[in-house]
Amino acid sequence: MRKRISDFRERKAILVMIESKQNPLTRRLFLFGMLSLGVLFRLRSAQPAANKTNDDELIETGGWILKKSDLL
Amino acid sequence: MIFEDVTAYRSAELVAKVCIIGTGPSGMAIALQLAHAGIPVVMLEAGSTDFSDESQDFYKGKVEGDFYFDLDITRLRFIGGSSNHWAGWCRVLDAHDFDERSWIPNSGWPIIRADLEPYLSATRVMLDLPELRPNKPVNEDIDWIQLIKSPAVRVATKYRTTLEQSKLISVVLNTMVSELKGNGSRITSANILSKGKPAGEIVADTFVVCTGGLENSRLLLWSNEKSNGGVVPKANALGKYWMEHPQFEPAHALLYDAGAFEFDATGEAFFSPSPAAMERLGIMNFGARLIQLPYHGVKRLVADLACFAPEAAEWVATGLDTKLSCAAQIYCGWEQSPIEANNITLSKNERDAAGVPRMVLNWKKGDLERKTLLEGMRLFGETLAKTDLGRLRFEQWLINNEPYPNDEEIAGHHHMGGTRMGTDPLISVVDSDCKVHGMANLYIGGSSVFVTSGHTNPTTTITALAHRLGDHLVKKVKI
Repeated sequence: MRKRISDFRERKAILVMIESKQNPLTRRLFLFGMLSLGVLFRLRSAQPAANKTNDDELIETGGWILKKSDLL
Repeated sequence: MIFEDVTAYRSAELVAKVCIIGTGPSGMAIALQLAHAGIPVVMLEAGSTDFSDESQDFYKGKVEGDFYFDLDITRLRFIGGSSNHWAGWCRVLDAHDFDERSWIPNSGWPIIRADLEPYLSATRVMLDLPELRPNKPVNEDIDWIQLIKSPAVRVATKYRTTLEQSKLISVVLNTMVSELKGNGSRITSANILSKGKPAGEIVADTFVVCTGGLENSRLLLWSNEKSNGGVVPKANALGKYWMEHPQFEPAHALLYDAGAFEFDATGEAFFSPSPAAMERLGIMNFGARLIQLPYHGVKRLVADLACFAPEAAEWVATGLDTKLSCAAQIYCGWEQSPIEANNITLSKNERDAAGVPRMVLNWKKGDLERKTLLEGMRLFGETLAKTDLGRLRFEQWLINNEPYPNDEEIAGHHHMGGTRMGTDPLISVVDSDCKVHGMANLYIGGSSVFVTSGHTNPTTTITALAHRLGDHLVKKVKI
């Protein structure tokens, strides 16, 4: 099940990414769509990642090491 | 001169002062240096001029512990040794690799990196390397390092004409040393097989064993057993403290400013932790190798980042269109701690065609290795984020504490330790001159003398150590 979701997400991402190169509105939709889908699928399929912050306001989520400001 | 076998060599009636067993980079560097000083040398090569299944069969053995390569494919047994499949990556161990580090058991060499400096010029000539540049700090935690790709010099090919024309170097092919004979203070002779058949002995004033980071231990363990401790009289550490460089793909990174990275011609860039960061985190040395992904390989990563950080993903996506940003696969090769339990022993029931017991390699990665990979990648990822050079994503197996994958590189084919250097015979086999403790005329060349492994490919350090040993022997051996 996890593999199928992953494949779907990847295909969708690539297709939309290619289209999104054409105009900024599509790019916005792509990013919004990926955010929604990604959060949904992550919640369903991925194991919970360790969240931690430090003094430099870094956060680990979904395997990424990000700045808190990235999440705004 | 190059002789097809020992019969041809003996008919030439040459006398060698030094017998070098093995013709890889280490043996070659020592032989060339001795010959340059006018000292006659015989080099014994167990294989022939090319690969053969029959010769490789001698390298078969058993691995116990973690998944590892078959022992007959991770090295080569013909003239030039494993330089014949060397990938060519070059870098000398870092200065701090030689230090004693309280959080790494059994660390600390009896020499320092500066002891190798006088030999780096000759090393560069042998391996066809340009000038080496120093590290560049990215911040206080991470250094930008240089790993040079040599044209992957095959030493036997490069020096073939030199060897053929030399009157002081005799290379004897198809000649396997099955046993060194010693009396507890000197090696008296080497038992040999020529083309698989017993062929008597070779006698010399000095013997140098350069058969590789696995075979050095096997030959000495067997010889010592046969001579009741006459070859390595202080053998407590013999075969032990063996190390590899574990190598896996623990992360990806999206890089915001591709121009800020000095990707080399192969699209790669390398990073290592600073000594202070290693000490603070209690981790070992590692090398993060960034390999630029082609454009189509980036999309999945951008899409994944968009799931969590849409603004950041948009930033990268915009840069992708103008090739200002890129993505990279991160390979990590890292240091392994030298522990007694990782060792080479002799098989009780398996022997090669010469009757020598086959090798059993006991090898496992421990908690410190795992901690180094996880905390090392975290350190690198935090550096990318803090400096806004990019963002790193761990592979799930690493952050979920799952087993190492078996379908990746696993390790570097770098065989280190087994006859480690040191001042205490309880935890070392050779002294700082690579001379076996308690023996007057037995020396070891190659990565088996490494005390710690660092993270970097060992050939450059092997070659520098060999030039240093050659220099020592030139002063020691009388013409």
